[in-house]
Amino acid sequence: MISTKPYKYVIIGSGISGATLAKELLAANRNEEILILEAGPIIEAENRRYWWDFIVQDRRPYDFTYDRPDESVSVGKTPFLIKGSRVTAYGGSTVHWGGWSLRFNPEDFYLKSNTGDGGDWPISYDDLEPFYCTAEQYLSVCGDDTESWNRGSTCEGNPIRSKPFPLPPFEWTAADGEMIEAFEKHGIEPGKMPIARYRKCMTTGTCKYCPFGSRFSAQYVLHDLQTDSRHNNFEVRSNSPVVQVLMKNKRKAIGVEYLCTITGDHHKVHGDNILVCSGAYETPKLLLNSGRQHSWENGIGNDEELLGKFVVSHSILSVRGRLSHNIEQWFQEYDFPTLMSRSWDTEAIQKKSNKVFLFKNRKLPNIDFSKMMVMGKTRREIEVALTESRQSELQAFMEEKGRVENRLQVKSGRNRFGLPNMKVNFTRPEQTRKNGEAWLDRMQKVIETMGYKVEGRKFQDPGGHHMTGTCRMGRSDTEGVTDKNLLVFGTENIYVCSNAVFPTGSAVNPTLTLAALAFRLGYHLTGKKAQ
Amino acid sequence: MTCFYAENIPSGLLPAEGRMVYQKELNLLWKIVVQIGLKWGNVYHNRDSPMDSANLKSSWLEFISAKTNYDPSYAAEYSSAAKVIEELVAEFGRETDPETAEDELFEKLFFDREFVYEENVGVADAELLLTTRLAHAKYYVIDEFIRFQIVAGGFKYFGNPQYRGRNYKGYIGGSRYNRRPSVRSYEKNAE
Repeated sequence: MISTKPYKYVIIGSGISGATLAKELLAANRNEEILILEAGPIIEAENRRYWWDFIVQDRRPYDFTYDRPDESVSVGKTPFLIKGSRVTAYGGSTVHWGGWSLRFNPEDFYLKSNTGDGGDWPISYDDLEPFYCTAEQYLSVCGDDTESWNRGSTCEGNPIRSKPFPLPPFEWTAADGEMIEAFEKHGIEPGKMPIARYRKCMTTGTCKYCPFGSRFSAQYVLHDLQTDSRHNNFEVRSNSPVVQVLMKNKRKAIGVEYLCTITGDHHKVHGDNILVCSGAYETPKLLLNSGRQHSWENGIGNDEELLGKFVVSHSILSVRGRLSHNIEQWFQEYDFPTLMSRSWDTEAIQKKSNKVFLFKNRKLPNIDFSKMMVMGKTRREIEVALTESRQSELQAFMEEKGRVENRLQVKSGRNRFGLPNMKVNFTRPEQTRKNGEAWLDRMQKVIETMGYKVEGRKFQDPGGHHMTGTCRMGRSDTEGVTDKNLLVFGTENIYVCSNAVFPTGSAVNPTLTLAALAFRLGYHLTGKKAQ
Repeated sequence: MTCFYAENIPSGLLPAEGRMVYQKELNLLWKIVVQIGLKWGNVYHNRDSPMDSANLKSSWLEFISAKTNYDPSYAAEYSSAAKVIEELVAEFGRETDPETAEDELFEKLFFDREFVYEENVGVADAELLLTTRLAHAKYYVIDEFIRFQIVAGGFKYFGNPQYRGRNYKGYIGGSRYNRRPSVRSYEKNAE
């Protein structure tokens, strides 16, 4: 039996897109009936004990939510890194993200047209640009408008940025200097990493669990919405994984069934609109497991069998070097990189290779004073270690192109949070591997220009941190699972708003783009017009 | 009769069961922090300020409060460590010079891992390493106080003062909008 209280919107997932949509919907109507169902638990933010344990034991309060090997497996030719890529909790993966907030480039929306590989978005950068501005304001992104990739126009003649960054950028650190100068010698423009800072940063170097709530987290948005006394019909339920979307007929959803993992009871709720905001892993799994009683033989929106396919990840490239002194006594001071570059993240490169987004490893150079003290090293020994050498590392995200054979599937059984287990079948094409090696060669030259001796270089296995594509947008149901307004093809009231809908992954982090899409969908649902 | 510090106990955190940390125990535990600063010389001091780590005490008390007011509480470990130190100071005082007993004890605790862990000294597994109250005191109390001391400001005082760091993971460097930058900043062509 379905619960009698009807909701206008049932939002599945409490991460950035779910929280943003709730905010927009409530801004349009404070009395809107909205229920958010979150599979994971609530993990308290700004808890001083959690913070101290992070510092003295390197233990974060959300680590226990990471995927376990028995729950999520990689089965393809290329190992796919899943553990640590997402947080299953109230607030979603914004609980652990680093706050890096970059826009996709215009060419990222036309990857297939430009290269013959991957996919095309059914919307353009220009369609999304006003919402990028809104998202940057919302996340309080600190960035530098003067960088070349932030100036200029799109092919439609519109400015790349119609509004400046809300806040000025974090300046480069002293330890960035030698890499900045090496960049310049190689024709690479040094830039400042755009970072989401929700509240006043107090430079704790512990962004992965900020004691002041300075790094944006969807938890803060949800707290504010829930404590606003005007929102009488807004509710969030944690520990409530949705097990299926309930349909009236093939086109119309009437609600969802969820499991309360505290009591073990199943519940059904009625919803006029279902907004699936549960990330690139859970979205396809939920749709695959729903609708079979109403003619969706392969899952909702999956008549063309595109669901779960076109897994796109970011591969991380890195080149590390060592210098035979550290007279300047540099060590890590921020917990995010301040130096980055998009000079190799261009349309020209996209057409010839895989684009890369460069950034300096924030953790190097570094010295672990307390570890040496714990091991009984004397002051003299520590000072020798501090000054005798230092490491530096240039890293990059490399863009990948979605391939139909790279897919996510449901595996039997359910995990600790009541969500279906899964397997990811991923194979990295040989050309991608060659392109990655070529980039590593170029990155190595930068490290050598700095005067460092190269100690190692790595083309990491693909990972799920920025996974996209599993429920991608398309111009028709033969190209994608959702249309340009994120409505699942063949339905009238099921929307998807997560990384899953991205046809391409770009070379940069997806969160800002997801926030922009959430605003765009919110505007669409409420009839609000973008400026 | 086995000394308190040599008593065999399980490796896991000692259950606190609502226990508090008493002032006398806090005073003994504070000595650990002071000795960290003295033995490694990494504490703020100048002509007018002795190396007594006084500038760290309020942060330390907040740290202790967080470790004892939330689960799992460290109160039993702190109480045990205080008693271990008290007993060892008395033992060192009997064996050598009572005036220097405390100094010699901390020299051992900080720099002589065999003194703490005995035959288990090379073992990585905490289950096998933490078999005595002394080992517990080192692992759960002293080591964590070391990490506290470093992030509370101790990181600044190694090496050449000309190249002193401004921030470290866990240190609260302050707003980046402050007049004085919270980290060491890049200046083109700076030497």
